[in-house]
Amino acid sequence: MTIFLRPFISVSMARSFTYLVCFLLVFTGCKKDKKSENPIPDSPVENSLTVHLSYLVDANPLHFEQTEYISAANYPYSVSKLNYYLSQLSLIKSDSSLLVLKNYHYADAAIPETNTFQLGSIPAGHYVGFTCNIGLDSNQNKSNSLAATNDNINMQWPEPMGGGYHFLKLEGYFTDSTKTYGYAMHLGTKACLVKIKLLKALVVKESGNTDLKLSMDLAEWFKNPNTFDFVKDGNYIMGNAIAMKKVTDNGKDVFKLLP
Amino acid sequence: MKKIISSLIVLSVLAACTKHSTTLASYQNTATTLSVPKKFPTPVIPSDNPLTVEGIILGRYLYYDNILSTNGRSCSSCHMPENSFSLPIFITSKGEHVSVPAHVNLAWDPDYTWNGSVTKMDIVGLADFGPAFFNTNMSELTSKLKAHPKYPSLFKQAYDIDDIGKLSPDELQLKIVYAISQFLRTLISSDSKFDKWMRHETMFTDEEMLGYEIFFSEKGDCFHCHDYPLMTSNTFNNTGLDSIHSGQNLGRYLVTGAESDKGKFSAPTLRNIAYTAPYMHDGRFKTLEEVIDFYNSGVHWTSPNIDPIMTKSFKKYGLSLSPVQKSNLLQFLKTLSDTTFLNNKAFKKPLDL
Ligand code: HEC
Ligand code: HEC
Repeated sequence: MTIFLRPFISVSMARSFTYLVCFLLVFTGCKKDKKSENPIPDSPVENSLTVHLSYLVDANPLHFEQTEYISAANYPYSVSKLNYYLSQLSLIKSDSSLLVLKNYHYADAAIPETNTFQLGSIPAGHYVGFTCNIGLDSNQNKSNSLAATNDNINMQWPEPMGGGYHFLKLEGYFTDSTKTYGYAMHLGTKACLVKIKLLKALVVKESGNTDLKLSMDLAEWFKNPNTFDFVKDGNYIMGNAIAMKKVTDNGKDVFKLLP
Repeated sequence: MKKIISSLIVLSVLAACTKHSTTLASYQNTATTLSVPKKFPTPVIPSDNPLTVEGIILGRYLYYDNILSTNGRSCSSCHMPENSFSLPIFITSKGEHVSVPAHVNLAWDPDYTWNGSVTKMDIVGLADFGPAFFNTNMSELTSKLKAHPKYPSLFKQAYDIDDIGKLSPDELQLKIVYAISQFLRTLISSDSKFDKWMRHETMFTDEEMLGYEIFFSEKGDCFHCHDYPLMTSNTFNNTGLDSIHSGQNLGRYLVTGAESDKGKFSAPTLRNIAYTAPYMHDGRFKTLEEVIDFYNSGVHWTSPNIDPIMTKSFKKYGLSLSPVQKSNLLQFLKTLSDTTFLNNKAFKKPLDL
């Protein structure tokens, strides 16, 4: 302590070096242990894997608010919001065991920075696919279990409705005959975890970057196996177990791996 | 010089870590940090206006001082501490009514004013020097500050400024609003009855509990836009106050020009809501009862861009709350009052001003 309180009279090299060391000490001392999103330690990066998330609607590019798409149940609709969590993002090894890359990731389709993220030091080699959940696995899906951030502050699933976090918020507008209504497809709670498994030969290089390109087709949320009808099934599904289940079941093939 | 700077960095980091105040040469301000309440995200402090103990002190004096104006006004004339730094109503030169937003947890707010026209809090106050607010005479202000028994030393300690008179009017205005913003960032509310209940320090009455369940379930569905802990989602939404938008009611559209932003407003925090009547951007509702009636049965469903959350039961509009449920919801809203915040002496007018 006393070092810092000395008056600044001399400016010898030795002293400024001391200050530098102290600065570093204090700085590292400041770091707090946070619940990590990334289980792979940040060792010097030799190679990396970059995950790219992109969005389509019926194979057309996603344009918020403007474009009208046609749902499987024949309603013209638009998209105004897409926020979701991915969890247990993993590469599948040839022996079917998993290499967990990241515990969870929050994405807002409208915020580019949340749709590209790099992971360092991935064991090089051949993998047979990629797997993750849309939503948070039960270990992480507890109220306040994730570090509070300005993103997830809007994703909490209230305690009176079971607690945890929203897995997905897909919102927009649809037209029934001539009238326009809003729709809000919100998924949360254990029964709505969507499991994604994409089999495809993947090679992670020894050095340099490997890209993993995931594309979500939003139209898939409304079809296969359940043709979702905004009017009959509900335009607001949070808390409606049957409607949430229908959308959850449709979620299994919303993602594709792009070449 | 470089050495001094690096030493300063060492000291400021140290101060930031330990919240120590150091007694060094008078030009040296003391870096400090906000004490972030549990469950709050990390606030974003702009790198060009770091918090210092002395900056906050200067800001607090300036906030309450009508020295800034030629009409007797201070910031606190419109942002009154007893109303959670709000004011019953402000009428613009165009005759439009504008409800004065409360100053609560502004450090977590990504945009300012009702339509989000300003994204940096530090510069919101610049507009206040204009004729509609302070009608400030800058050269007069400069001489008054120079001759003041306190301000020369407060500016010296906060900014290492030896002579206020050497600043250009623009520089001086910026120094003033930056210091005030530092003070505003310290106005943190995290000790309402609801916070205490969340921390298991107190009990809710049955009515408050039922109101909480309405607020935080699909029944009332308030949480989507007013979630804990900030009691705002920091989003822009059209809640269906009007079916047709014109003038100030165009909201966010006036900032972005996007059709899809017509009628959208920044969702306000509901902290201390019982102290900040009237309600909504134009103060159209006098009481919280009227606000609840609006959400229950007054929403204009055909309003363009109405938030999808508001159209949830599109075949049977409204929340269908019974009179008892409405009163429960009101009781819950009152648990958001934070008397620790409202009575905090560090937030009030300095006694020697
Ligand atoms: C004459 C009344 C008046 C005075 C004086 C005044 N304000 Fe305001 N203030 C308002 C009104 C009205 C608004 C809302 C404007 C809007 O949203 O269009 C506002 C909004 C703000 C906001 C944005 C809050 C939010 O949540 O969006 C800040 C910050 C603010 N004022 C700071 C100050 C500061 C600092 C001063 C003194 C330098 C000051 N005000 C003086 C009336 C006043
Ligand atoms: C879709 C988002 C949304 C939902 C859902 C919502 N609000 Fe709001 N709330 C807002 C917005 C945006 C405003 C500001 C509107 C304006 O001034 O034009 C607001 C304003 C308010 C205000 C007035 C605040 C002030 O400072 O004047 C109160 C009180 C309020 N809401 C309570 C509630 C309650 C209670 C519920 C549930 C019944 C609720 N809100 C649901 C977005 C929402």
